[in-house]
Amino acid sequence: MMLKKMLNVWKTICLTAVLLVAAPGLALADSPMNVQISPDIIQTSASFPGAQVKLTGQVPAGSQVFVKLLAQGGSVSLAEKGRQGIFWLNKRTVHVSGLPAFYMVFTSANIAGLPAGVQQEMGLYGNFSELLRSAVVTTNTGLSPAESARYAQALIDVNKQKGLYQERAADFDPAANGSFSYRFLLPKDLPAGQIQVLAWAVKDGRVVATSQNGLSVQRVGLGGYLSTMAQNQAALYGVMALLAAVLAGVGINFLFGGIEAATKSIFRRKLPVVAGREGEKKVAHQARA
Amino acid sequence: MDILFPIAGVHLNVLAVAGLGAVVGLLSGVFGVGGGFLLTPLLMMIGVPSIVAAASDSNQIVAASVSGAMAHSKLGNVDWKLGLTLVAGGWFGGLAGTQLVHRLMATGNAAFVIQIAYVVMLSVVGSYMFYESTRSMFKKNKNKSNTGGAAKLPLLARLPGQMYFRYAGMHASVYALVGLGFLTGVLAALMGVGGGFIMLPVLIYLVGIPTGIAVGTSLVTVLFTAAEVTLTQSMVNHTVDMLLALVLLAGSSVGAQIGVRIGRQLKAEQVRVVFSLIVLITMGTMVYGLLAAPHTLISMVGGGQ
Repeated sequence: MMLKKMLNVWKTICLTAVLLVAAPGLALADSPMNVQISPDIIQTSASFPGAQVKLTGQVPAGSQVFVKLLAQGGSVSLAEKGRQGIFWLNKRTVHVSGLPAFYMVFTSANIAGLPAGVQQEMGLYGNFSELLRSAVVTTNTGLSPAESARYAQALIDVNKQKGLYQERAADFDPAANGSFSYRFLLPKDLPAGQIQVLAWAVKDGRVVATSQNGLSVQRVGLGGYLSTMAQNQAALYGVMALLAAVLAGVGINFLFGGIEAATKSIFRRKLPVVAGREGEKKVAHQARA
Repeated sequence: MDILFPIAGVHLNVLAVAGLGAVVGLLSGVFGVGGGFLLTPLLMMIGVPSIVAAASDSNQIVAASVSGAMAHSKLGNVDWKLGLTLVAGGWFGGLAGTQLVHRLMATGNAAFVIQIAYVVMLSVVGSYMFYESTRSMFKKNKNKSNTGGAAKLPLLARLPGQMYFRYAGMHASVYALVGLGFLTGVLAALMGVGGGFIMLPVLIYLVGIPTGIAVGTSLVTVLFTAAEVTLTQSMVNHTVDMLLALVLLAGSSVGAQIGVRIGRQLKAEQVRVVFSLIVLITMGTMVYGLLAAPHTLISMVGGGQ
């Protein structure tokens, strides 16, 4: 009994000691990090050329900053062509999910230099390798891990070419007091929806502060209206598309009919212009003659 | 000026898109075809996802056909009775063709079957049309009728259900015409086009009506087929980019009107020779696409995320 009590006291002492040692680190890791993105609402019209955005914040002095912007993406189908006989045919179609529609990383230090635990905590391994790990590739037939990675990499490459996936390592330096400011350009193909802005401050090989923020991308104007309508009111959209086509066709027809009639009348009657109703009668009479 | 086409999800130069529409509209007006079989591959070449290109094409074909059909109607080139008979078959053919495409997509062979169908159809139609029209031009037969129509196949005149088409001035089996409309509808759905490039030679060579009336009447058939496809694509696949279609039709409607006037200046044989060359060039491009190594082996299906 006595021994059991002593054991419990010993356990309590050990636990307290552990907490005392770990508490400052945990408290620091959980501490909020002041990061602001401006503007936090982006409106994209049909002629949207891209937008300049400024990220400002404050981290504990001496920390390095790691920022990730990402927008949820859906399933994307990829087709692979192969040579069969003399033709190039689609030999396989796969579906890739788990990849973001938009992904941007910028850091004040190289990701490769971070401890593995910190990389895992942030979900950042450098050179988009975290995306390769999160991608899920499916098809009707089975795929080997190497084949899955090849398809995921192909989609990552397509998005990199479009400017939708960007990674800029060690691209800026926080000030000595921990303040930082970073300007970057969002691409013109920016998908509509919510973009998460996640930031980490890393000091002495561990995450000391985190931040989570948001950026809203809204489609406005005719493009946004049509896009929403095509998805939500498809039948009405279809009828509208038909009506617009018919009206445009009829309008152009009348326009050309008018132009042709006017052209004919000008070339047929090279007659003196006589004003008034009597004049019109004279012109008509001369034209008949 | 680059703008984002919202359903296609790509930025394109407005003037380039309108210019593309104008060129295809010009051909549409001259030859009496919707132009989809040319515009679809051209749009894909400038970066529009294939399914959006095909669906939006149908939308602009409606406008080009309305404009062209009205112009031809004023010129007295439309046999409405014949056109509506063909449309009756074409609508059912379009529905059946859509189901056929769904089944082919399930087996993964849709793209290849569609491309091969294109190559076979275009090569047969283009070659025969080119042969027949060049022979007519060089033969200069003194007794040749100036209507420009080819000799009517005796089979159509002997089939049951004969109906007289007063405007075209010919008898034909109504069953055969509805069947031809059905076949055209199936092929139009398979190939994602209005079907004018199939209907026109069918009217000239199989039905045997004058080229001028064949052009006007085929436009009526194209108009209704394209309208059906536009509605279906909007409701089922959400792939009609109205903004893209509006820019295209701004160009194509103007082009079609100019084309109709150019067509009036040309002889029927000349129209058929040029048309057959365009058909053969398109066929050659498709064969090249099937044989040449693609730029990238893995590509996205249907565009944006």
